[in-house]
Amino acid sequence: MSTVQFTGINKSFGTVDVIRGIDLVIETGEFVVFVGPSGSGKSTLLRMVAGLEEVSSGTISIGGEDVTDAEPSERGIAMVFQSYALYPHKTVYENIAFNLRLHKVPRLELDRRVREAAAILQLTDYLSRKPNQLSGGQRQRVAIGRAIVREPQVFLFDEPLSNLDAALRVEMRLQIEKLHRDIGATMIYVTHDQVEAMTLADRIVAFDDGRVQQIGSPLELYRKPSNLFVAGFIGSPRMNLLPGIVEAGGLVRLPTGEGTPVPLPAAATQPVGEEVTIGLRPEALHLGGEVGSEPALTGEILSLEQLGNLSYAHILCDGLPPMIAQLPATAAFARGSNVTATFSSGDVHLFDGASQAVDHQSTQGG
Amino acid sequence: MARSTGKHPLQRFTNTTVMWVILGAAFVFYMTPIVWLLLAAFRTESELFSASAFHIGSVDSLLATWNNLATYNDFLIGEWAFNSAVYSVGGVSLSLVAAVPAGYVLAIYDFPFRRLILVLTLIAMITPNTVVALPIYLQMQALGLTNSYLGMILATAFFPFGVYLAFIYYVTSLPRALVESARIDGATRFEVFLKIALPLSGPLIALVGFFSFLANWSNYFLAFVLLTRDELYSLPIGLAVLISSSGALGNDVASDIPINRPEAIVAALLVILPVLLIFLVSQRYVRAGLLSGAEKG
Ligand SMILES: Nc1ncnc2c1ncn2[C@@H]1O[C@H](COP(=O)(O)OP(=O)(O)OP(=O)(O)O)[C@@H](O)[C@H]1O
Ligand SMILES: [Mg+2]
Repeated sequence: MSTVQFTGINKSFGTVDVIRGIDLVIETGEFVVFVGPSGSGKSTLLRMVAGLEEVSSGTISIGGEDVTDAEPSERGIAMVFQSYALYPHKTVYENIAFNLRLHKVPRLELDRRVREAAAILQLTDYLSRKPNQLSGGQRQRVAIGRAIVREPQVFLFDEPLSNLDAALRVEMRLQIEKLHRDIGATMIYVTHDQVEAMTLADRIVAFDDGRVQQIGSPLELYRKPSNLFVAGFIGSPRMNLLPGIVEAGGLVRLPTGEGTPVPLPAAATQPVGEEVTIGLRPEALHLGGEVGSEPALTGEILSLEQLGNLSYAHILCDGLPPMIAQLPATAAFARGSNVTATFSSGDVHLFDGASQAVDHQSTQGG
Repeated sequence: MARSTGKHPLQRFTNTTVMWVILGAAFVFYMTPIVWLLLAAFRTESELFSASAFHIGSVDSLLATWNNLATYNDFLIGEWAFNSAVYSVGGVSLSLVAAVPAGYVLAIYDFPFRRLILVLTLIAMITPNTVVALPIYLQMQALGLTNSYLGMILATAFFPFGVYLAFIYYVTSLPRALVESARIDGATRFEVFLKIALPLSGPLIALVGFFSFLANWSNYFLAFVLLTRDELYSLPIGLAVLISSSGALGNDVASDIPINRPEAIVAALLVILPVLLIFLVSQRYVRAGLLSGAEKG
């Protein structure tokens, strides 16, 4: 049992409320990723699990045991910091062994466990080095080694890879994924990185402003964002969000002279005249079609980004914010030319006046 | 660094020249008195008056001067130097033991009255110690600690500047994550200090030690007030008393003790020398790099 349970957690620094009423259960062995914009309280929540930050109200339990007021070392957790936080005056070996030494683990067992952890992370050759003789990736592995040697119930990661370059980040991401598969411990992972969140998480918790905005599997959040915040936050490039007004006949009129109105999902009960938001992922827009049976928008290509395997077109339609469309790399469009972007109404996300998603799966009823 | 790229070579030349001229002038201006002092130690009383400012004297005359100082009351200055060393080393040790942990706690932990203590530290730091010399004297007298090693050491161990230095050092140089990491690893608060913070405090200890030594070694007024028996004098007090009583700096040669201007100069150098040595030793530790590798980069 190494569940992590938050019940009614609040946290304020002075008069500033940073965490507002979090209720969340993380199951044993689950890999949960916290995402959210800077300042949304992800680190604060993680640090409260670690016992590095006191809760203002509410309780946290780990493995069914209330640890709200427990010392960090009594919680069965290990934490990997963004800055690695290695002890600079200790060798890699001693960095990894520090916890075991403090707990008076017998010498032979200590040595065995340190070497095991080092082997898992391919650090065996570096055991006698000091942290300043290591590369960034090696330092991060030491930080992880320091965590796994303790065999904690719960691993906490606060943006562990954000100081690494892109290639190393991919490598370390795979290593963390493998680690999770191998030892099966509960892991809570804070990141800004979409790819890390999508690939590592069993469940993603999206935060904004100290509140949970949505909890679900990566694909759930991608396919069915429950509000405007999640829609805009998950996915890169981000979802195109266009303002519109509901009009008679189950249509949404966009404030542009060109293109066609967008049909409302069948389940939608928005009254005529309500201001809503239409969401379209970049890959939902197909360029080069004709205004016809499918809804369409017409605009000018402002710029093209060619990434090799695919391209992004930035399109400006009169009266709308700029949009991004994803194209196959082979598509040939010129900057400055006018295009028509068509989309299937099944790909439309609709958000009501209160920014909440109107379930789009029931659109048109087939 | 792309310094002065894109500038005309001539302009670059002028800039460097101007820089060197300014630095050179400042160097000559500020070094002259020190060079004079060093040279003067080699000159005799009459040479000090008659010869040109940078006249180089002789080793013989330095030795003669030193002999005059050393033979005074059976090498009493040796005893003073020993006293000074005891007062200073005692004061430095006690102030390190008190200031470093105090600054650490103020920097790392939050507790009631923390800010108040910081402000008080600052106030104590900027209070000249001559202002409190008299109250300290009364206190020591009440405790029967005037004219004693212990009294001098206790009085100089109070070193708020060291607390402040330690505070600044730990705030700026000790990453919070290191402390937190050690806490998660299971270290008690004291173990974090002992096993993580202290081993990384070399530069701090060198700095606090040096400044504390400097303050104690050259502490004149407090010693002047607390010590009345000449065998307990510190070097600065002893030499000052010796020089003024011998009339060395007066124009009338009043005294029969052979202590004159050259002796005063050598005495001054004698006081400076240990400070210089301690500085050279301690500054080797005041180097960056101790903490490298703890964090990214
Ligand atoms: N010790 C503190 N005192 C006061 N305010 C704090 C403190 N620590 C954090 N905050 C505030 O709490 C809010 C949440 O901070 P937190 O570090 O949890 O954000 P985050 O989601 O981790 O952001 P980032 O993605 O930038 O790391 C921020 O507005 C921050 O300014
Ligand atoms: Mg953070």
